Amino acid sequence: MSVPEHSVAADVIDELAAPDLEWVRLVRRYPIASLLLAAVGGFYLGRHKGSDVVDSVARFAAETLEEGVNELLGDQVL
Amino acid sequence: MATRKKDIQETATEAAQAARDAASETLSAAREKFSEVASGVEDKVKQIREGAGRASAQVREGAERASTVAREKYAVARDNVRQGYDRVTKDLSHLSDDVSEYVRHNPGKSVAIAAGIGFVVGLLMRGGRRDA
Repeated sequence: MSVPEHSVAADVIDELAAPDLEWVRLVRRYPIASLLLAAVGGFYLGRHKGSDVVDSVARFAAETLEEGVNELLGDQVL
Repeated sequence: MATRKKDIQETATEAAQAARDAASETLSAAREKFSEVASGVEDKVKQIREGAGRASAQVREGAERASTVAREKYAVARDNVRQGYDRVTKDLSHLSDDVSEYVRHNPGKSVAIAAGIGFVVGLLMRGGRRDA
């Protein structure tokens, strides 16, 4: 078997997936089907909850930026 | 008197002979003329028949040539389509193998990329609809 992958994406999927789901093994066993399933899931999410996801990501980015800037400048700007 | 009668008879005989000869010559000339005309008509018919035969042969040759060319073109087009189909099939097979190999080596990244592409496409295909 291949060397285990260490990436942010893999960590995020590990967080989101059920603990007993061996998603890496499934993806390696059925690569094309996994890609199609992921694409369909992403499509569904983008079509029905796209705005919510985009808002959440934007809010998270803004908060992270705000925290970083505040730490850097000592709560003087924001 | 007998001499005169004999002269008249001879004259009549000569005249009759002359008339017969003239008629015979006229008949002969008419026969020759008819023969010439018939021969001319026969030549013309023969020429027309030969021309028609040549035209028919040319048309047949042209049709056979066109048929052969069309058959060759069809064979070439069929071969090209078959080669293109084989090439596309081979390329798709290679692409599928490459994608599978990449996904096996980078499962998380691949799934994230696929989900991201699907998400963006879904976001773009919502049209004018906006969530409340």
